Amino acid sequence: MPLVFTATQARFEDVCTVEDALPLLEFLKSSNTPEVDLSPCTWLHTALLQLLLTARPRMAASPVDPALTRWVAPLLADASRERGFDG
Amino acid sequence: MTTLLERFIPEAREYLESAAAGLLKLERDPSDEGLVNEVFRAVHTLKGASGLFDTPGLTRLLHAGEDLLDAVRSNLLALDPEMVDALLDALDRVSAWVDALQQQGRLPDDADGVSVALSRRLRALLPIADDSMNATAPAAAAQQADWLIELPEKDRLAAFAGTVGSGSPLLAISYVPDDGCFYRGEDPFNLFPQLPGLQALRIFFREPPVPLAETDPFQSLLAFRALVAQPRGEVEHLFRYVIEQVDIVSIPPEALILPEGDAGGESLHQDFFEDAGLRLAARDFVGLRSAVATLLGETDGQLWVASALRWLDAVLAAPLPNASWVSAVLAAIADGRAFPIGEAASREAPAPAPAHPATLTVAAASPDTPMAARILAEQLRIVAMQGDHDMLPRRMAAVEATVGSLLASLGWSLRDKELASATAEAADGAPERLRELITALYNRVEAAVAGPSPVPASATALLVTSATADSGQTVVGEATQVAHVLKVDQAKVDALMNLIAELVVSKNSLPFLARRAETVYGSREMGREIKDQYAIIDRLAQEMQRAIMDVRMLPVSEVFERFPRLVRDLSRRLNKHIELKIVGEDTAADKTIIESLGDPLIHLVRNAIDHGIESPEQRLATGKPEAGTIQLRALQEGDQVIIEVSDDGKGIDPMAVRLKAFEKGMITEEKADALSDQEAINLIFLPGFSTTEEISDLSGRGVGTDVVRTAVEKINGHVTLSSRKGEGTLVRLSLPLSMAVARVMMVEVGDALFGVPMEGVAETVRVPRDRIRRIKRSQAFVLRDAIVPLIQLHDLLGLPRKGAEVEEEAVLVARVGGTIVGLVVDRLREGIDVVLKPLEGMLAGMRGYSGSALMGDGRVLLVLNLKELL
Amino acid sequence: MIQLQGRKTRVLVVEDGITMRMFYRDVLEKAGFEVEEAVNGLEGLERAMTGSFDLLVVDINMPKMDGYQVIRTVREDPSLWRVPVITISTEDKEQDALKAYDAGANFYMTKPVRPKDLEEMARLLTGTASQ
Repeated sequence: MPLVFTATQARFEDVCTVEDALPLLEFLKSSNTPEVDLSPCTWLHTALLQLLLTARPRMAASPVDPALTRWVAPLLADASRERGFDG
Repeated sequence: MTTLLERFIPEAREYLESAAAGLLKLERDPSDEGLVNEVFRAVHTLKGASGLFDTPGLTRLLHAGEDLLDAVRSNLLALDPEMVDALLDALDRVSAWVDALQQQGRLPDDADGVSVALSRRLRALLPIADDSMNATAPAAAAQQADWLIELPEKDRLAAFAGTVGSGSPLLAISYVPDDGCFYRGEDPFNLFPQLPGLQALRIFFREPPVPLAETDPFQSLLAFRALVAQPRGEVEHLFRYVIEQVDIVSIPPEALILPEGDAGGESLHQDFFEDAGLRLAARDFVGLRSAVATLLGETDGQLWVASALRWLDAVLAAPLPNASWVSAVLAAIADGRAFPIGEAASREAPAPAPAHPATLTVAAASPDTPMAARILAEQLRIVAMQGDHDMLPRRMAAVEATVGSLLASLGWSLRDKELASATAEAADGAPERLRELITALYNRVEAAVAGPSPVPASATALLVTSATADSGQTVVGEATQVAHVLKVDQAKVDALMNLIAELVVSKNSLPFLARRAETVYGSREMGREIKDQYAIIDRLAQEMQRAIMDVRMLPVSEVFERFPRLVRDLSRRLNKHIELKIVGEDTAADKTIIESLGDPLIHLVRNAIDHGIESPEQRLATGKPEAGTIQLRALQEGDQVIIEVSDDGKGIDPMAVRLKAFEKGMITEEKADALSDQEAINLIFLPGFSTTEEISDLSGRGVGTDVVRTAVEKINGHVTLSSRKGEGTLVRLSLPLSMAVARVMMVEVGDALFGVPMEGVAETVRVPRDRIRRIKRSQAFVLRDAIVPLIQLHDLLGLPRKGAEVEEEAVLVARVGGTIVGLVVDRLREGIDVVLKPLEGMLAGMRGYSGSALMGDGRVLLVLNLKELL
Repeated sequence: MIQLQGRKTRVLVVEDGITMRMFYRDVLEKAGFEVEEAVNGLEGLERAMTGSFDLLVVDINMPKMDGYQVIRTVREDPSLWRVPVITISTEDKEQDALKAYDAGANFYMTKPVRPKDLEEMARLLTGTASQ
């Protein structure tokens, strides 16, 4: 199971696929202050990315994977950022 | 009220009526595409015309209506009653405004407000404006990426730096996956990290995200925009399963120069611009860059100005900074009304200024920039445009023509073929040299405008470098030369020319006067003095004549220059390999002659390509080089200019020509047999003759070789053709250098004096009676092994013979339409320059004469037209 | 050096709107050009092929034949391939300009056109700019 949940944190391990979308959504909905740890993640499915961008949870640990660092981390970096529609 | 407005009002009413009527019909039958177009065009035309007047409200409303009709026209929308209502209301309003224009000369005061409201209503009916979001619209592919400014500046800066020197391709990718893509196993985001050339990526919701509580995690809502420095093929391969949702556009690096940030801050000090301008003119890019760095250090980084300066720095950091980009960014900063800000601010405006990069140069070339600079800036934009590759040659040909005209207008010239070869490279997909060339010219125009100060040496140096390898001066025409060009109406030169020609003729009366002084007044001394004076006047008159002729002289390159293109296009179309050689293009002739050469030459060259040069296979089979050669050659021979069109093609078969002429009933069988090969070949000049069975599409508009002859003879020239079967064909046009003064040979027939145009005179001989042979009822004599038929000019003109019996006949051997005839006259006289005037009045229609000329002693000389006479 | 202006420089205006036609005529005649008119694309093409013009001013959206087609056909005629062509359109879009240039236009102007711009452009493209 690539996604590992604790009460307040979701930990993305290795390859995270579309299968993880529903559990992630449940987790994000269940917690008032959800946190994510992206450091072990090497593959983040678009569906998961979309959920993260909708919920904008606090990033407990940034990704290590270079592609995720470059393209995804900046989008999630500032949890307090306005959640507005970007487009 | 201006007359233009007076004209506009009835036109407007007419179009408004037809648009309204069309709309009503369309409501009943929406499928009538012709009608949709008609209504659209009516509104479109009106909108265009309304832009001439200060009626922004009216124009805006028509524009909104036009956009809506355009959507209907392109089947993006189906016309419904609601739309028809809105459109009719708008048309009614415009109608009322037109009435107001007629009565008060202006729109009512509330027009603007009403216009905004009605336009909004029309626009509300439009489909979502952003085409790039609409992945299914095929038109999206042709669209430029107008969203580049959304990408982070630092990514754009990096991509720019990486591309500008290397010339590697830059692609703007817009990918809008559809709702259900996750179900098909697609993972859009993860495609992007697989692109090694990924420079920038923007991920966003294509519509406002649904609150978490209601979100469907399997419905894809994201869209992607990216900048990639990688060959298109690789990118298309990666996106091959979703390619219909992806829009890939190639963009030039300067497309990225889109400064962003907050407006405001203090405007930069004028000193900076002056300094920058000087450094730019001197090509001191290093100095300019350090000035920019200093300024950047003092500027709030969030400001738009800072962003623009960062871009300036990036442009300057390139190995060979592009001066026109530098000046464009500088101009944008100086203007303050900088384009990207303007664009961002007017996002809701109906027609935002295009955010394409190339607009940068155009933006720099603001309406107050001299037109020459604007045209050049536009050429840069054209060169940078990313379009269909097949269209490139035509687009570049237009660029070449535009720049060529511009150079001619400015009195500048480039080194031989410089422009042509740069455009040819651009047409093959390598625009760098053309871009540099145009940029250099642009800078030169700017420099010329900046002031009378001479162009900095460094600017010229750049021109030469841009001209690459082979040395030599690129720009020859210096600004100083421009001042010496004087434009004169041709009519004035003609008047001057006529006066001089009359002078030439009048001075011819002096020898008569001298003779009268001797014979009538018995004063040899007076006679000699008159002759001395005559010699002086004669010389001056001739020099004047030559000088004025020179004014009218143009080089044949004026007509030759169109042929490289013609030959290239036609040979490609026929799959033939043809090399065009041009020799002697500096040969000059009178403007009238040069201008009338165009059509005959096009025809001859077309013929050579079409009928002369064989296919590569045929050529190889007959042991010829694969590529055929067509040569255009010009030379001066005495007072004639000779133009030759030759090819090394299959030549003309005299037998085939004879047969054809016989079959067409042009000649009898006996005549065909009697013809020499050369004479047979000349038959192709007869009206209606064509040498190949099938008329290929290149033969043009149904004209034969006879039109070449007619056109050439109209300007007193003549055509000869020689050809050898299997070896090639040579067509030779001999034309007078000048038309105004003609040289004629005078002959006496009876008591009258006639002129024969010198071009037609081959030689003059005296033929002893006993050498004249009678063949049946005609006469002939042998001249150097050729039989020359003899014709009594008296008989032709209906005049009596003067001396009854002479031992020798005076014979003028003339060349008439490729054959030689001998004209028997009473006396051969000297040649003379005359101003040939067409016959007027009652004589105008008389055949056999090409005109009349006034001679020095006041007599009128009739000049014969041998062709018509014989 | 003296350059001959020759006969008046001849301009063919191809435009369906009568007001615009009159505007072009006014501007160009005032600038010393000889102006002829065609009221649709097809007529424009026919006149261009038979009339020896030094410049064509071509509207884009016209009945019978649109401006793009007029230019394309003109460019395929070897005796006309060098005639400068100014297109005047109401569309300020990149792809419209590209289409015109691909067809072989020399300059793509957008309405409204300033008289001075049209005059200078016509002069520069026909080589009759006053120095």
